Formats: sequence, structure tokens, C-alpha cells
Amino acid sequence: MDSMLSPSAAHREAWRCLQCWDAPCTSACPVHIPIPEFLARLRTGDKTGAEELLRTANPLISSCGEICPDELYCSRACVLKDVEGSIRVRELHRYVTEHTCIPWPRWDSWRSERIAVIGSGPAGISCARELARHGYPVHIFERDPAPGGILRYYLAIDRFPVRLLDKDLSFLQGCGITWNTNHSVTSLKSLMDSYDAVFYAPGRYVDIHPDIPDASNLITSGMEFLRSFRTTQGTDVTGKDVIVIGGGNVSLDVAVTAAGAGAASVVLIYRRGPVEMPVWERERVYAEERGVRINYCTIPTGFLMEDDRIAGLRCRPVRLVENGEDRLKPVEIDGYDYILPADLVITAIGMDAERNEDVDLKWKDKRYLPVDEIMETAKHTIFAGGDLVSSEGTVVAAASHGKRAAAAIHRMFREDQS
Amino acid sequence: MKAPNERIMGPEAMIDLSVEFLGIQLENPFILSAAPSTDDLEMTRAGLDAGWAGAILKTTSVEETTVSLAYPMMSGMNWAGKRMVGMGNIDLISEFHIDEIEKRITILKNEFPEKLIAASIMGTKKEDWQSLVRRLKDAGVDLIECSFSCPQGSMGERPGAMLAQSAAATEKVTGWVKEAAQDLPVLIKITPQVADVVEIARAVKNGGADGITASNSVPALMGIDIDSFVPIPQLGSLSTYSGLTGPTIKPLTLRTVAEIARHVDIPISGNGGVSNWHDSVELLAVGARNIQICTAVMHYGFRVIDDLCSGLSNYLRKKEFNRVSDVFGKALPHIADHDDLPRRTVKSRIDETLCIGCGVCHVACRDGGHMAISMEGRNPVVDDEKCVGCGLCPLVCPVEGCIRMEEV
Repeated sequence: MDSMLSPSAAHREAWRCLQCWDAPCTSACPVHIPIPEFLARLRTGDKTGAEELLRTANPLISSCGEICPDELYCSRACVLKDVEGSIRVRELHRYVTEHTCIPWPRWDSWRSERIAVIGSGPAGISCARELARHGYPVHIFERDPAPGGILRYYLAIDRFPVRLLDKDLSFLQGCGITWNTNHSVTSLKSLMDSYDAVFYAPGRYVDIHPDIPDASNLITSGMEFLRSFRTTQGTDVTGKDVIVIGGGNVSLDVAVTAAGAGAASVVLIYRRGPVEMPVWERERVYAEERGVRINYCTIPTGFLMEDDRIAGLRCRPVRLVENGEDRLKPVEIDGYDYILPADLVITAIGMDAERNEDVDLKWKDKRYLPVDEIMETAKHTIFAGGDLVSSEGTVVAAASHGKRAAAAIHRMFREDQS
Repeated sequence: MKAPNERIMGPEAMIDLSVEFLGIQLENPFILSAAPSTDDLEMTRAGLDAGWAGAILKTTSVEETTVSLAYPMMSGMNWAGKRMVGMGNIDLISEFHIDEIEKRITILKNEFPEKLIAASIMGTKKEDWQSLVRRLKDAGVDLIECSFSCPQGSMGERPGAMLAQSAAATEKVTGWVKEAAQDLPVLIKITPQVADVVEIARAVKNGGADGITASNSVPALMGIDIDSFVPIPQLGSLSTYSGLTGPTIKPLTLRTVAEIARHVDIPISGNGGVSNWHDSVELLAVGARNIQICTAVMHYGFRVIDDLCSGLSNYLRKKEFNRVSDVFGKALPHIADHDDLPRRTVKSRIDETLCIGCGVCHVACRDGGHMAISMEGRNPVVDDEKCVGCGLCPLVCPVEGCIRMEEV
């Protein structure tokens, strides 16, 4: 999205790092990239060593170099943040991984315990890579034709080039991972019979619909909309007025994609205000630059139909009131309803989990599967991660789940033996 | 010719930057040293027009001397993302011989009667040195500088050695030059690459020179290409030692000038590593009477004279000095031998309100000091029992003024 640092700019930027004794950036990074060491290697011209550190800490480093919301992590923790500006660590990751391609070892697995990984998104990839590094044979089951999950199918085209994912995946060939694509797992129970441990990271893909009449018939799924641009020519929005109901980063991706595909207008409606909007600042600015208009404090109440076609969306303003909870509560304001013209209304207000496992994982709500601190579910030997267990929703957080689960699985088997 | 600061600030803000050197009046203390910038008539004019107080034309010799240059001749030392903190050259003296230089002296002196128009010479035999001096004197030169110290292609007693590395040779040749120059001021340009620079400065004085130029580039090997193992600058598969100049040699020049000023009563023209007005004040404070500059011009152009004059003026005004000569030697009373230094008890004091919590002081003290700074959370804490007062921590601290050494 932003331009690539030049070699001399990267060199100077790396030299700004103070080499703090306790590296708050590393602590803030979910996968704990040793950032001062990385920068020390970069600034002395050891790009190979720099990429080695990055790729060891994060198997999705090329992808993260492009899309990691560093403002939540390293950049926020940098001691220079309020002094002269944080070190642009993500851009330096991106610079290193774009310019180099280090030789990476290949090996055959040498341990006997077999591991199944369900889902090949960031969490699954990360868990598989870590376990393969420990020598376990890993079988990945992916329902889609190619691995990557969210990264491959559900991000706005101009926000994330898939070649970065493919570069990350190229480092995972020939290390004991078996890739089973086009393969939906129907029974966790039978998988448990054939494998010694399972990492369950299928993501969340059940659209949540806004509470308005006929929503399930008339509304377009945000995830399906995004996917159409990755798998086909994309949903035709040329000349259409598009409304996106949402507020999170997915809704921004949908809106940006619609704007880029030739929509006449794109309006994003969100029930709370700009401060409450759970998006990364960088993404919002980008969407607004692409012509996306955001109507805050607005809820949909129904469709305006003409000849069985959507002509508009009825909207109602809300005001935000304190009600003792963490977030302000939207309260509808009567008498100010208005109609936004619309040819296409897309929902992107969140996703639920499928929850159709044949093993009781002790679900508590519709969205997030409970796991403990080592990512183990209520069922021993079944671990879980990614969007299925957390609302954090970043690639690097999912990668950290995979790493944590892999460490726990490894510990489990080694402790078994001793 | 207007002084640069007049153009910007108007006459009421003018500070007199003039200095007197060997009876010559200079409008400011900044002189273009004998180097590529003064090896072309057009360029020298441009420099003088820009506001430099004078120029020493690049070193010349008699017509019989062969000058065989090898290219490329320049190389740089980069550090921490900054280019050319040091510059190296394998240049030789000018390819223009005395016949051309004497013409240029006459032309420039006519065009710039108020400026210092000087020449630099190098010879071998007594007759050569003396004929060079006489011809330049006849051409109207204001001052002659004798290069006893060009580290490349030297013409001293032994091949590869510089004239100014021998006190005896220095005194003898200085005598030859001064004999021919008579009342014309003579400067001897020495090298910092000697065991005892004071001994050389005494030889210059004993030989009868009017002043000394301290000093010159420092013999160096600028770097090695670790793919081909050919050092820089690369001339095919060969290289050679360079003369190092630029910001990195300023501390060497400061020491050289201070040593001479403390021990020998001779006017000094300071040269080597001055990049800005601040450096120039430092060099004046250890005893230089004017400043010669080359590398900063080669990097940023003649226009740096504006910044030099502006910075120096504003410094003098702020310090309430009336003239540049008020700075001369100001630092010398503060330089002593190590034995004579006071023995004090100092401790590191960290200003918590300025500390940004990076812990760099902790790491430096732990691994290179006396393990006296521990971290309590993100706060560095000094253990006075362990702190010997070495003064490393304020150097590594990224925040100016956060750590100070205080007497207890």
C-alpha cells in the first residue's frame, strides 16, 4: 500500500533504533520477532541474517510486512514513539523480505506422532510450520482449492497481493507438511482416531445479518463479495450505489473493493462513532482516500424496493449514551429516518462460527471457541486458534496462536515420553 | 564584495569577522585550501565571489616535474547511514606548473585585490624551491605555503616519506624557502603523521617560516571491498593508501593545533576536518588564526561560506565577543597534562523526567562500565557504590541532557 523504502532510507531507519535493553517492541509483537537484533543485522548489511530472524519468528513474514497493523504492536511500544516517531519496523520487514530470498532448509519428519491441522489460514500455517520444525509429520486439511484462508480469498485486492502469501508458502515446501486442499473435515471424532493431536483453525464464516426484514434474501454477504474478486471477475458493481453495513476492518475492505470496482457511490454505515469504530487507522484513511463515505451513528431499518429490486436503504440516526458498560450504547432517534439510494447492500457486521463439530468443545457463545492459555480446547489433544478463538483478527495474532499451540503440542508429547 | 551576512541581515546586524594573519587583512577567517577547488581559474573565481576570504592555489612545482595522476582518486567512509563522514583521495599536486600558476596569481590579484591570493609549492632541489618562490613573488602572490606533507607521491628524503616527517629536513628546506621569500610571508604545511609534532613545529620556526599550516590529510587505507578484496578507491585490481579528510579527522587536527599552540610561538593556519562554523570555533579556540577548508566545499560547494559566516557571526554575538580574535586560544588554558588533572568524585545522575526508558545506559554500564546502573521496570537506577564516574552513560544516552556527571 505504501511505497517501498529505498536501500539508503532503510539503512538510515534501521540506524535510528536505540537497541533498548528490554525491547518493548518485541514484547508487543504477538510472535515476538527479535526486533532490535533484526535491525542490528539489517544496519550492518547482513540482510540474510535479518530475514532469517524474521522468518524463524513468523512464517507469514512476507504477508505481515504488507498488512500487519503495526500501530497496535511494535510501533505503539517503541520508546521513540513520542520522541521522534517510532521505528518503521513493518516497512523494514517488508523491505527485507521483498529484496531477499534466503535459502531455507528442507527435511523429512523424524518423529512418529501425527498431527492434523484443520484450516490453512495464518493460524494453521503457523502451527504446521512450528510442528514440522520439531520433526512431526503434519497433515493440513483445507476446504478451499488453495491454502491461505483469509489471506488468499478475503482481503481487498489492492490491499494485499497474494504473491506475498505464495512466497511465504514457498518456504513450507519439503519439510514434512502434507497439504490436503479441497478437503472439508466432516468429523473431528474420526480425525482424533487417526491423529495424535489436532489443531483446529477453520475460521468463522457464517454471516451475521442485520436485524431488518428480508435481510437474508436481499442482502449480500461481505465475505462472498470479497471472495468473488479473488476467485472470479468479481461482483459487478459498475455504476451502482453500494451500501456497506459494518464498522470493522472487513467492512472497510468491502467498501474499498466496491469503490475500486467502479461503484457509483460507496457508503459505509456504522452504528457508533469514529472513536468507537474498531478499525486500524491506516485502513480507514485509505478507504476515505478511495472515496468511501462513512455515515456514523446510523442503523438500517429496512429496504426501499422498486419492482422487486433494491432501490434504497432506510436509515435511522442513533445517539450514543453511557449505560455503564465498556462501550457506548446506540439509542435510536425517532423522526429523522432517511433513505440512502442503493442498488446493492452488503453486510459486514461480523461472522459467527459454524459450531457443527461431532465432538463437544463446550461452546459458550456463537462466535468464539473457548481455549486455555496454551490454546487447548475443552477436549484434550484438540487445540484451536485463529479467528475461531479470538476477536483480535490480525494475521500476526493468528500466527502467534499457531506457534503457542505447536509449543504446547510438542511439550505434551515430550512430557509423555519422559 | 558584500559579506554574506550583510545580504541577509542588513548592515546593522553585521559583525566584523575580519582577522589579521601575518600582516594580511582577511574579511573572514575562511580560506580555500590548496585542493581541487583552487586548481581551476574559473572555480577559484567562483569561490572568491561566493565570499571566501582567500584562496591557496593547488600545489604547483617546476616545469620539469612529472605529475601522473591515477583515477578514480576519491573514496568515502560512510557510517550509520551517513555518507562521507570521511573522505579519501589519492590526488597529487596540480598538473599545472609554475608557468600557469604565476599567470593565475597575477590575474586573480588584479580581480580580487582585497582577497588573500596565495600559492602552494612543492619541490625537491634547493634551486627548485627558490625559483618557485621568486617567480610567485614576482607574480604578486600574497603568501606562499610549502607543502611538506602531501601523503601521496611525496618528495621528501626517502621515497614514501614526507618532508615534514624529518625535523632536520624541515628546518633546512624552510630556510631555503625563506631565504628566497625574504619579506614575503611563508607558511609550512605539516603532517599529523609524526611521533612529535612539536619537534616539527620548532623546526619550522627555527627555519625561519612566518607561520605553520596544521595540518593535512591523514594517511589511511579507506576500506576494502570484501567481495574482491581490492581496497578503495579501486583502480582495476589495485589500490593504494589515501589521504583521509573530512569530519572524522577533526579531533586529530584539534590535538595537533593545540599541541603546537601550547609549545611553540608561531602563528597557525588551521586545516583538516572543519565542516561547519562550530568546528571552526573549536579550531580557533585551540590556537588557529584562520581556517582552511577543502572537503566541505568538495561535498557541498562554495556556498557553505554563507553558513560558516552566519554561524560564526551569531555565535560571536551570543557570546558578546567583538571580533573573531577574541576566540583565539580560549581553550588552551583548559588543556593540561593528565598528571595535572584534578582528582574528583563524580557520579552519574539521571533525570527521570527526561528518561525515555530505553535502558541503553544500563547495557553500556553493565557490559562496558562498572555494572552500576540497574533497571527497575523501565527506570534506570544508579548504584553510587558501584558508579566510579567514568562518564560512559551520558555518551550513549539518546536524550540530550538526561544524564549528567555530578561532583559529590
